[in-house]
Amino acid sequence: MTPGTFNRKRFAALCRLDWAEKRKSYLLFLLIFYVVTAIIITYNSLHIYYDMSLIGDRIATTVPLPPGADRSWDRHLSYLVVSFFVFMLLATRQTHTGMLTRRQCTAALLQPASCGEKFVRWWCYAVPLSLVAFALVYLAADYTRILVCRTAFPASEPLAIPLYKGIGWYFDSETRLIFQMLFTITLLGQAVVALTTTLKTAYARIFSRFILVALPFILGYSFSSLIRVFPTAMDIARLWLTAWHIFFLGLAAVCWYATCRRLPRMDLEYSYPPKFDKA
Amino acid sequence: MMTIEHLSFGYSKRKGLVVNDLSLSLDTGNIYGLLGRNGVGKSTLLYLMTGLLTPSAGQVLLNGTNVRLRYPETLCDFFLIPEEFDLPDYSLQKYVRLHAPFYPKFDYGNLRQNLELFGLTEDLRLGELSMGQKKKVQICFALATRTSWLIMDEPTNGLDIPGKSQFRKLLIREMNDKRGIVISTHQVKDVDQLLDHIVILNEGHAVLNASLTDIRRKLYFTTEAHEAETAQAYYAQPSPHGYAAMLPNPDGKDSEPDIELLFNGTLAHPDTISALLNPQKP
Repeated sequence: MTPGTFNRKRFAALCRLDWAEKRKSYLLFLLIFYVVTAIIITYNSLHIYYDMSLIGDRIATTVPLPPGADRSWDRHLSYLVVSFFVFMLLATRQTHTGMLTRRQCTAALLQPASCGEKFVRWWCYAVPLSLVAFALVYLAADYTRILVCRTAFPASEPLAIPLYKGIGWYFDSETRLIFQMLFTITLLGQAVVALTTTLKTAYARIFSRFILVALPFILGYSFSSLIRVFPTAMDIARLWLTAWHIFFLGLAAVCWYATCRRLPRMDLEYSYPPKFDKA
Repeated sequence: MMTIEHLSFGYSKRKGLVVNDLSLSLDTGNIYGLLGRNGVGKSTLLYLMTGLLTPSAGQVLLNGTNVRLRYPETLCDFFLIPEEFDLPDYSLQKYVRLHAPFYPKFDYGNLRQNLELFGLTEDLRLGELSMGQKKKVQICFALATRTSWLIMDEPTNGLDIPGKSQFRKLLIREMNDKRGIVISTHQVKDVDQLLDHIVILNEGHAVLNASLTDIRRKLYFTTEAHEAETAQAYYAQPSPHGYAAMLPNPDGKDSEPDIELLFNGTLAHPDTISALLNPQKP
């Protein structure tokens, strides 16, 4: 079976239909993420600004920062890393056409569009649009943080600096490496979520998602092994790191391709809620 | 034309085959009644006919294309109304605006006419409708798509008494040589005036596959006052006026087929009725 043809008009109609039917759930998902992010980073910032008001720039940070830098970001970075990974993985599942019940399956499978068109819609929503949505929601949460901090703790006014202005302070070679790793891990994680979504039984889906839990460890271990093998020879290390990224990004591309190939095989026998008697 | 070729399907090896080496040929211009006991596989057959399930053997071809491939050109040439379905919580106008582009032959004027017949308007909010009203809306929309095949699973379930009569009127009005309709139902009385071909499923096989014309020619349906008068009948059962009987029709007498009697008679004597109406089958 092949994913079939691609028709631009039908694809546009498919996107319009998906947006009309799932708009509320998408917006709710973004709203929840915005509220959680705003609360966490505001709470962290208030703590840091309070400490800074007492001891000034002497507050300990993981990265050496110039005077006047917003030191609260030192704490937010770990949240940014985790939230980006989780957000993108959830977005992949969220943007898949609802097939939790037999009625939803019937409607989705009989929608007169090719599997190729359905796949491209899913990928566009899950990867580039989710990236844009994440950036916008994070910036909105960051502005909320600044607004709340400046209102609740006026002394923080010169300290609270928006993310897009202050992120440059944190971009040394180490954080750049972390962000590159995060991006690769996330893209691979999304591809694994997509592929496991198209597996036939609940058992297979649940079992294969253990790979997701293991993913950061596998990638982290392989990454630290590289660093250990090439601690000083930077050129060789860089070459191996590039190869490392290419390998895992290639794996992600293979997973997405396999997902695209599997979509036409799906039928009403794909039990979406975990029915263990059928698995 | 829809062709079912040696179709077999089972949900699991333990439960065995629901559809077993079934072959049928369905032509446009007819309304097919798909009958069978509960759990015999009527809905399963409809799902196979629409590419929603993958057969273990055989295939269903719609104008020469395997429906299981679910090509958009095939998907927009039939419409399935399942027994139970969901409609989104927005207006019918919006529903039409979003779904009609997938059906190249969609007829907006026809949709208005169909809704009018059921006494419905376009400014309905779908989330507020009862199941019966949702079914009416779905039937109107399905007919307006102008697909070659309309496949309905228990279409009269949930319809009120005037609704059933309006449904029959609508189908008669919308039927033409370019369209075929398959109705799977237990409520034979609701649709018996519409059907012009009967398929009865039993144990994975089509024990009867015959047009109403053939059935009329070969069988005579009557009601006798006494049981003794039904001695020659293939099948007879008590009725409010005596005994409803299905008799041989060597003289070619005209009678109105009693589909319920035919169904019960076929299941009671499948070999006899099958040999009479499907002589090519073993």
